[in-house]
Amino acid sequence: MNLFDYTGNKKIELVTAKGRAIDNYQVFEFSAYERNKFKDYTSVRFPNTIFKCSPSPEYNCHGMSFASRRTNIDKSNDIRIILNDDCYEKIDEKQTMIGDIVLYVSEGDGDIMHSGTIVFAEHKSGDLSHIKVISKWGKYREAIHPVNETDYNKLSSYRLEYYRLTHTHYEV
Amino acid sequence: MKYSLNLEELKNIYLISNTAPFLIEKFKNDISLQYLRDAESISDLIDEFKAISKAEINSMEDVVYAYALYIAILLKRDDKVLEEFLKNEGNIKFEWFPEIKNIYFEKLRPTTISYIPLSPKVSNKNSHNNIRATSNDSEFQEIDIVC
Repeated sequence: MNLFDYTGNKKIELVTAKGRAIDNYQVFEFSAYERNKFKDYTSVRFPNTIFKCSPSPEYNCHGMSFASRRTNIDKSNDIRIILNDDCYEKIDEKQTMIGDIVLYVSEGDGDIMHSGTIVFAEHKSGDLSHIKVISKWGKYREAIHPVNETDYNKLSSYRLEYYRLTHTHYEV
Repeated sequence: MKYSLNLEELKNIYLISNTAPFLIEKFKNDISLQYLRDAESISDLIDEFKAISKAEINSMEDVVYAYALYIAILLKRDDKVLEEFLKNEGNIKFEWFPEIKNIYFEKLRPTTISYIPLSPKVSNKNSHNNIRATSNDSEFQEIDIVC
């Protein structure tokens, strides 16, 4: 296959709770050789991170956070649509609990470059290492990591946004 | 691969990228890609990209090399050459190529500068259009702006 042979990204049917379509794509598989090659990619640079599962291009962080690990979602507008239609509510860092969502947002262009689900939250003043997250790092592996220990924290300017599913549209 | 790039680092970036803007941002800051952009002519980069885009993709390294060249070419910001280049290569539908092209048009493309010819207008110095700017600061001299 060359770049011109590729006729378009494979998609699955994916909609929000309110029925709006969400753009997504599934990409080609890595070879076993490449899976092994990236086995130890991060173990040195991220000492407090535990990696699980094999590298996989089939889903990314947003596909893990919002689409049950079935596909890739990569448009920030689509993430905002999901947050709105599925009734997520923005919360403060101090309010975070297990199951809440964290977004890593680039200050420059508003790109939601990463997302994850909180698996541990102990609130100590100014110390983000006590919030732990499970997330998928692009085509790499799933990781359980302190919220501030990723490559996504290394952009010069970014912010963390926290969200909780409220289901307010189901209230009577 | 004709050009030398820090492919190990670029592969690491590609591997963990969730979105095209993140990939562009990180690639833009890579020193080997910046060197490539500055050292090579846009026509040489385009020739190389055309060659590899028709070649078989066998590994992630091939994909990363293609992205690196594509981004280096767009960062040249040569609007006229790029218009021609994107007529054909802009049709690549693989993964983030369409979005990188869109980002080029929305954010990377140089802003068009239009020169609007203005005829000088001379007016009476005592007319109401005469704006006088003054300052007590000795660094500034009293000037007359005649509209």
